[in-house]
Amino acid sequence: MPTCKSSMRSRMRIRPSPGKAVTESVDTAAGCSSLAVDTTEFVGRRHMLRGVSASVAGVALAPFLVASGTTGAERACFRERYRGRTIVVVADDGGLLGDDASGGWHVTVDGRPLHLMRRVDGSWMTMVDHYQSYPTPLAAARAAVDELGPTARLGAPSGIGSRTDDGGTPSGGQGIEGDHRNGVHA
Amino acid sequence: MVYTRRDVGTLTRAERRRFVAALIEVKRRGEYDEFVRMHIEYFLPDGENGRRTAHMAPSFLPWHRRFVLDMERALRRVDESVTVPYWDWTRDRASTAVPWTEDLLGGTGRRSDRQVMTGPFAYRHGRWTIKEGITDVEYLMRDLGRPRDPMALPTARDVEDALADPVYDTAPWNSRSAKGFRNKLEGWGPGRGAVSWRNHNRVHRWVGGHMVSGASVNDPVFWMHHAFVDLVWSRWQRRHRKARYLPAKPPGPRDAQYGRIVARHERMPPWDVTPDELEDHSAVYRYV
Repeated sequence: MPTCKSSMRSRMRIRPSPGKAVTESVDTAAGCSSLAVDTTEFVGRRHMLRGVSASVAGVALAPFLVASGTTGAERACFRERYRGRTIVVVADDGGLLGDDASGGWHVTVDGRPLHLMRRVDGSWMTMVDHYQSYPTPLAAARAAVDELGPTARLGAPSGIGSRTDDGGTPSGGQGIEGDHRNGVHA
Repeated sequence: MVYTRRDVGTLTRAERRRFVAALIEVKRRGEYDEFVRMHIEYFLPDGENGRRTAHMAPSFLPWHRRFVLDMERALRRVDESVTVPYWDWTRDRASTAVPWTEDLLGGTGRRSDRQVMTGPFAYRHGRWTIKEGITDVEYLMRDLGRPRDPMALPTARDVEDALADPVYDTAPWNSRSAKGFRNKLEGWGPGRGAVSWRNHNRVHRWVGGHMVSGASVNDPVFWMHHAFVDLVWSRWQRRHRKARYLPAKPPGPRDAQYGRIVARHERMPPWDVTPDELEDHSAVYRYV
């Protein structure tokens, strides 16, 4: 489960002020550039939120980026408050190399895991938002928060058997496929 | 005996009641949630490893044809007069019209939490508790037309754009297939945001709430939506008589889609059935 430990908040901190795009250049050694220079996303989101609520937009624009410094550039962590939720994105080696689909990126919303999946064009999807993909893990996480609305939390209704963080590989479901060999039949 | 699937707007009051009652009984028996689980399980985007059968793949249409058939069988075990009606969203476009009526599916969710408060699937009746979901919410959610940022359902013209394509599907056989009937109907369009939502995908988003998630099956409109998608496939087959499901043969080992999609005569998980065997439904049901 990704957490932003205080010890990791060593080197970078970006606090964009409302009304101003995030344009600071970021040391890419920690591999956080894809998140940190996500300026179009901030601008786009702000544009979308215009007219919804100034205070909500203000909250949305208070992210900060933290990254591990000297102990290796393999792990980057990003946390933001968005619409009253805490989104944490942790990227390790695999995520940056992108070698194994969504491997390496870990996202939580209010501490609950949000399983990320890749589209072939490199964009990102979650089970919360099944019919659209987003250019970055953070954008996918924000879209998931949008869909969660004010009260819903990630996790199965019963609190067990969450489908949000399983491997995503079909296991050949049991039960309803039955024993039918034929094609279309009653 | 071939049965018919009808436009949901043509159902009599008694037929609506029996359809709703059958859904609620299938849910009570625990069978409905098996369908929800299976749809969640088979959601695999095309950037992930593994064989895709339900989405972003040529077998999107036969997979959902079989899925709706299985639900229809479950409903008909309860009441053999019931079939899955289709919702023609190119015609019934208002959030207050059929199928969103009090005696059928109920209406949109309330503003605060998108909870459906009307109709037989409202949480307070205790007959439609969400058990398989992506969130901890136990009530059905909808957000018809997305009022905070209004959007429209696909039009007859959008469906026609898909129907006019004479080829079933094309390489790369995924969400980037720019040509081919399948993806034009499934709806992974180019670009980002609202412009990229086409036909089938766009309807899921228009309904909103549970229909946007991997647990979209929780909303019974899922079946009416997919019955209509299935009907559009039938129309396409009638218009392009010689056209068949593609690919006819599996991609070779050097193809990026090797082992990742289902060819015409390959088994389509989770069933022991091929797309070829699902192309002709005329011996089982027909659309009127």
